[in-house]
Amino acid sequence: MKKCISVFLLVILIFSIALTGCTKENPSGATGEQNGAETTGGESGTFKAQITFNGSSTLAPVISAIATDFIEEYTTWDKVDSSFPAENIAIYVSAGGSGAGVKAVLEATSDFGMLAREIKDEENKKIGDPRAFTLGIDALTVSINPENPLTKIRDDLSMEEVKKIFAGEYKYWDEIDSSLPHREMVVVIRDLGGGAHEVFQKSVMGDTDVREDAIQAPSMGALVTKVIENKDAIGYASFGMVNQNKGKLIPLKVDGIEATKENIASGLYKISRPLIAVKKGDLSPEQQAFVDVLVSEKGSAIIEQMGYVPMN
Amino acid sequence: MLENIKELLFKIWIILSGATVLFLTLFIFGYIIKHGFRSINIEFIFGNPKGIPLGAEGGVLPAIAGSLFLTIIACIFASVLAISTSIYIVYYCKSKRIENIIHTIIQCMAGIPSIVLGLFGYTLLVVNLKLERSLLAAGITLGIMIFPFIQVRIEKAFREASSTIIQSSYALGVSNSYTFLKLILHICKFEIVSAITLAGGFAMGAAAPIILTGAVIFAPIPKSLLSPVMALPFHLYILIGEGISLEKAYATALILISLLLIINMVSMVLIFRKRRSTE
Amino acid sequence: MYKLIDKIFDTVIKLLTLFSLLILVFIIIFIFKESIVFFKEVSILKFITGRKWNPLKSPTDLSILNIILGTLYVSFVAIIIALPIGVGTGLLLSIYTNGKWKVITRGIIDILAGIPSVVYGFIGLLVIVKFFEAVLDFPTGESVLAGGILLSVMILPYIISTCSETMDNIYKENLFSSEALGTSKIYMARKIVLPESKKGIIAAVILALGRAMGETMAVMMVMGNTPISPKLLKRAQTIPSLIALEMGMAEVGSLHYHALFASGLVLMIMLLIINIIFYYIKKGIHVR
Repeated sequence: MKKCISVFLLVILIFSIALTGCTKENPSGATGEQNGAETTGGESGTFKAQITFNGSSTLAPVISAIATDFIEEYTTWDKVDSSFPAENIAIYVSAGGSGAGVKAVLEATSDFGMLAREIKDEENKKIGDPRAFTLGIDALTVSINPENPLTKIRDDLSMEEVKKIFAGEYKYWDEIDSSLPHREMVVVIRDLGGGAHEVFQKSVMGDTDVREDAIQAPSMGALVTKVIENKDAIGYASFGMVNQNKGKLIPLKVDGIEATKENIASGLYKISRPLIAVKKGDLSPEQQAFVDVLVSEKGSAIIEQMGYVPMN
Repeated sequence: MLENIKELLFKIWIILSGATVLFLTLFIFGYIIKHGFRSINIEFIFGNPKGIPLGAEGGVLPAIAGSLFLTIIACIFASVLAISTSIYIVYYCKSKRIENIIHTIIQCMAGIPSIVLGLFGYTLLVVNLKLERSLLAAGITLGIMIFPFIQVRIEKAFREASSTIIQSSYALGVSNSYTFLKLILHICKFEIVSAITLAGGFAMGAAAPIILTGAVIFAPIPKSLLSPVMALPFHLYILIGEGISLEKAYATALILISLLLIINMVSMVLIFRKRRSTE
Repeated sequence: MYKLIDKIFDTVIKLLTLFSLLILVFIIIFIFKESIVFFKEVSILKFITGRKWNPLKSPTDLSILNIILGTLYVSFVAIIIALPIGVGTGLLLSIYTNGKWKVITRGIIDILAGIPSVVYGFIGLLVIVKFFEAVLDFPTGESVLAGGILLSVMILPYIISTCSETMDNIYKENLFSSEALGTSKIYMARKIVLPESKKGIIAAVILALGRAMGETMAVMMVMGNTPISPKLLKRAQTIPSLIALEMGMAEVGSLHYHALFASGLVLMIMLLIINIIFYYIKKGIHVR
């Protein structure tokens, strides 16, 4: 009887502590963590064993891959640098689109934001004290399904044609070339939060809107999947992802320029975008340690392996 | 004559309906089992996600652990509150008006779409209360989602508990707390646990509320209440949405529904035992 | 001694109840608060009757008529498909099963209800959408119809369990007299149980509609998510999937963010209105 009541009360007690005093439970250093995002350099006294990334669905797999390697190699922070405590390394990655990355940094729900486009001026202003690291360059290819008969006729589209296709002025494949079947074009784009959406709008569409009934893919991976699975599909697939899925979708040249590493790096291929990790304020030493790996040779090797153009 | 035809049609209708439902159930499970079975092995259940892109190889242990933890937290949060609220309504509340108000509020709650709860959870728990995307924030959000579910069932169980026993208990002068803890809880324990486990299954499968409040694409097994987690439904969504791996997606779905099947069976067994004990 | 424990118990229970109710009320107020901010900037009428949704342009276009229509359209398609099957199965269950079998079939229905929406979406994507593309040769299988079919499977358990509960009661009530008169089971089902269950069926529809309109993940995966005017074989978007897709990028405090809350509010009000309509329909049905 007494036991029942005390168990009951204990549960309530634990629960209310957890709810209100949870900052005290955190092993790696209490309140310093909560203020860390607002006060620059306020992290000097507290060590956070976890780093969180949020943002672009293009960059997320890259960071995840580098993080997995990092964790496998070092396991605990003290192996990275002997001045760090012996805590397990925990790196968390979630994706919601480049827009979500900026939001996460602004709302301090994530340490780093991942963007697959340039940071806008208003965003820089809102963040106030941004630290941005460019990890690589990606490009948006105009890709179609390998079973699309267009691949046999042409391997190139002019910028005008691309614009018209995405704007919906061309609705059927035979409007591009009369030998193609009279089938509807299935245009796939990223939703509004995607970095690719804004990059494409700026570099290709200009003032014209993309057609209203284009399929909005919630992530770059979904966009690529859609083009791979639907033979009438056309979409602006990420260069890196096209490389990861060689043969499953065919990138077309734009204005005669092919999307290759050299063309992208030199700027000749116009529809390109930087892959950026951004943080508000100074980096703590452990965050710096991971970022160093991101921009190092090892990081670049993984970035290249996944098909993107590394910074080096 | 016409009557006979009508009757025949009617018969065909209801048999066809039943057959359709049976077929659908078998199809859903069969489809997932058939395609997912070959990817299930020890490495999948107990390993971490690997491969490029992440998830194409390796296992889903962090997601399984994450889902289990989330469910446990959601259940604790929801059941403590639901049990108390039910006790209050059934045994303490004197005015019918208050009871109606409470019922209306809870019904409103049940009508809120899970995605709106997720949005609320994000703004309140993650941003304002600074819990960060965490097990705790997601667990609480899920708990809020399943609270009406549990509360309704527990209240029903309390009301159906034999009132003669309870009245005699009060007549004998036994205190409220004693009556409740020793008698009512004991009588209703099967139903309470069954309701909680069913709700837990519901929480385990929900993806919408946890997207913003705690689920991430890549995380190790959660070490504290404040770390983000991987969860099975979210992982499934990512695997199929990003086209990472179809086989792994099937396998993840299989694990998820197997866990849910186990939970449901436990719940059913409990109901059976309740029937037996009251017969 | 016990008096003290009793007192503690009493207070704890009351506190916890208060706490849970406060949370619930708080949520509702919170949603209102965040939505009202939006309506100061954009008039309610424009919000629900305009057809363009483009929060990234400036000035922003924030109107969700198409999305409201999409939500309603797909839910109604689902109900139209699921209702006959659900009612039929309910009849079958209440008349032809009893005792142990009842519990088993209840269990199966519960299992169907317990399948998570992501899994449904997953299967819908691989089976329904693929079917449309491969067999029926649609350019793309994502459509309102696909969403409707998938949703109907998801709401079936709700319809079946609500209906069969009502029908069980009616059946039990009338079994005695019916057997005495020598009528067949089928006759009972057709002429007595079905007509008397109208109220139960309406309750089932309300429940199912609520579930259908609030469903996020499964619908999101098979409907294509384009905010255009919904047609049966074309893509569309529902309010829950709008919120799910865009909440990740809408900054807390921005107009976009409030717009999302406002659309959630609109959804909840729609549900409320439907509930009220059906309540009056229920009242209007006179049972013998």
